[in-house]
Amino acid sequence: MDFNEKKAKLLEQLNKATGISFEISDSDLSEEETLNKLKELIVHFNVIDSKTGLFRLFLRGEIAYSDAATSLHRFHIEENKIRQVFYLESQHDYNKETVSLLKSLLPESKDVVIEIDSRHIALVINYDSIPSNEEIVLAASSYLDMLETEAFASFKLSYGKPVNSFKELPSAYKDTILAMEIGNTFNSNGRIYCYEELGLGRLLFNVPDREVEAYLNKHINIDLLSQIDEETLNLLEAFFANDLSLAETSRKMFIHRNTLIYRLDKFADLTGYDVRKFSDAITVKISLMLYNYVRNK
Amino acid sequence: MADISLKNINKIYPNGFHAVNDFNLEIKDQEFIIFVGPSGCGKSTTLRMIAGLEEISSGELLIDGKLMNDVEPKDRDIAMVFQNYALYPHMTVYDNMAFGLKLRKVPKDEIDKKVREAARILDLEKLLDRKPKALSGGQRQRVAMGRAIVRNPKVFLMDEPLSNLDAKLRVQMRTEISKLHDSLGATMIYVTHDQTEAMTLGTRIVVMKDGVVQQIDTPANLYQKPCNLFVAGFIGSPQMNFLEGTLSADCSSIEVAGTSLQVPPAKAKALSEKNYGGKVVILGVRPEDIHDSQIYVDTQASSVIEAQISVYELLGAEVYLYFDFAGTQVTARVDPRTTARGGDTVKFALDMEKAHFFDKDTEITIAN
Repeated sequence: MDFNEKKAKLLEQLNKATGISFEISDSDLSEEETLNKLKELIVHFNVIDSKTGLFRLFLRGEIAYSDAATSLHRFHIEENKIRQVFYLESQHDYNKETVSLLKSLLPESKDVVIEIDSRHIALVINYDSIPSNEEIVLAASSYLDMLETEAFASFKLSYGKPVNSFKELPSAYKDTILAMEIGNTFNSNGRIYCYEELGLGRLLFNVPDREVEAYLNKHINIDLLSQIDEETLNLLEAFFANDLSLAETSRKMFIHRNTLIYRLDKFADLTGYDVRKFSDAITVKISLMLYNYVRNK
Repeated sequence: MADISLKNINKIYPNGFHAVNDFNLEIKDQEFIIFVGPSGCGKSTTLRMIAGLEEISSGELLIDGKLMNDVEPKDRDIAMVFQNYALYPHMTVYDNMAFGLKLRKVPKDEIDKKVREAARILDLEKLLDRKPKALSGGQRQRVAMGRAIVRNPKVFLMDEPLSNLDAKLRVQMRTEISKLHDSLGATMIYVTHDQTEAMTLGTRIVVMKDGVVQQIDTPANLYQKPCNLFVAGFIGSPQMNFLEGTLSADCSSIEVAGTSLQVPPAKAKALSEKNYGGKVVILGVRPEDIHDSQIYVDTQASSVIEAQISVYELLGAEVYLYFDFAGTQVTARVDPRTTARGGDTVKFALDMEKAHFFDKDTEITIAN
C-alpha cells in the first residue's frame, strides 16, 4: 500500500470516527509524520467504549499498543494469555443472527467476537495451554458447521499460530488475513486455511505477474493448462498428495492402477512432463498453482 | 415431508472449476438417499446447493414442485447435521435443542413440546438438564440431531455426521439414524465417503466421481450390477479384484496371465454380441467369489488359477488371502477353516457366474 492509499484509508477512518469529512490540502509534514498524525487523531476520536471496540481497533492497527495497553486493566484483559485469532469470511453480508450465534457459542467473557465489516468477523479465543493444530481445526470446523446448521450462513475461516501476549495480536490477525487471501487464491474450494500450512502458496503469492507469465510460458502455458480436464487435474492433485505413489493414488481415487498410468501418460504426451519423475512433478505442481493464481485473480 | 427434484444441476466456481456436472435426480417423499464417492467428487457441494449454502450455477432445484434456486436457505424448510456437532457449552441439552427455535421466536410452549418430543425419539429425556461436557460422543451427536428434529423440517441433510465418532459408536449410530428415518418418515439426504454406511442406510445410493453421477441405484443393484469399473471398485470391501485378460474369438473363455478361464454362456453371448471377441478386457471378481475349498476347485475346474499366498489375515469370521496374479494383488475372502497359509501355493476357483467384464478403454461394464 503506498502513501496515498494509506492516507485515504486513514482519512476514511477519521471520517467514520468523527462524522466529518477531512482533506489534507497543504502540509509541511513528511509522509510518515502525516500518517502518524492521522493515526493520533483517529485514536483521539475513537472512543474506546467496549472491550470489543478495543480489540477491533488494536487488531486492525488503528491504535498503537501503547494506547491500547492503557485500556487493558479497564476491560479486565490479561496482557499475557494464550490466544488464538480466527478470521471468518462470508460470501455475502452476514446478519445479526450470525453474531449472536457466535457469542452464544463462546460464552466465556474473555473470548471476543469482533465484527470487522459486513463480510468479515474475527474471533479471539483464550486458551489455558497452547492448543494443538487438531484442537484448532476442530474448533474452526465447529464454528463453521454451527453457522451453517443454525444460521444457514456459509463462511470460510483462516487462522495462524496462537500468541502468548496481547501485544502480538495485530500480527496474528494480519497472518489470518493473508492466509485467507492466499488460500482463496491457490485453493479457492477450501474452507479452512492455516497460515502455517500455506507452503509454496506463501512464496508464489509474492511472485510478480510478469514472472508468473514467464514461468508458465517456459514450462506449461495457460492455453495448454486450460485444455486439461477436471478429472486429470484431480488425479494430479491426488498423485502429489500421495507422494507420487501410483498404488496409493489409485487406491484413494478408486481407479485401476493401469487407468492412472494411462492418464499420466496422456498428460505427459500433452505437456511433455512425466509427473512420476520428481523434477517434472515439481514443475507441474508449481505450474498448476500459478495457473490457479492466474485464474483466481 | 417432501419430494425433491434436481434437474441438470451444475456448480462451476469462478475459477472455472466444474465441481458438479449435470446432476439429475428425483427423490421421492420419505426416501433415504445417500451421496457417496471419494473426497472431492462433488457430493458435499451438491448437498450444500440443496441447502442453499452454495449457489447453483445452472439447473433447477425443486422441493415439492416449488423452484428453490433463489429461495433463502432459512426458508427452504430443511435441517442439517454435520460432522462437527458443536454444542453450546454453557447451555443444557434442553437449551441446546431449543436455541434455534428461540432465535426464530417460536412460542415457548411450542418449543417445549418439540424439544420433549425430539428428546423422546432420541432417548435423551433423562439428559435434558445436563451440560454438553457431561455427555458421551454418541449422546452429543444425538443432541445435534435433536436440534435438527425440533425444526420439523421437510428434508434432513446430513454431511458425514458420524465421521468424528469411533468405529464402535459409528455402527451404533448408524442403526439409530436408520430407526430415526423410519420413525420420522422424513426425506433424508446423507453424504458419506464410507461405502459401508451407504450400503446399510440408503434406500438408493448416488455414486459420484469428479462431479459426475456414475450410478443411481439400490444398494443391492450397485453391488451386483455396477455400471462401470469405478462403481465396481468403490462399492464393496475389500475391493473387487481386476484382472486384464484377452477373450477368445467366440468369448467362451478369457485368458489371464496364461491361464484360460471359461466364461459362462450368458455372459459369453453378451460379450460376443458387443463384438468383444479376441479383445483385451478387464475381468472383475469380488473377493468372496474366489474360493480355495477343494470342492469348489473340483467342480469348477474350468476357472481355476494357481498362486502363492503372500499374506494370510484372520478376521475371526473370515480369512483374507492375498496373492499376486497377472501382476496385480488379488484378495480372496475365504472360510476361516481354510488350511492355506502365507507362502503356500494354492489353487483358487473363480466363480465366473458372478464375474464382471469391463471395456478396457471406457471402463464401462460390458457383462455383469
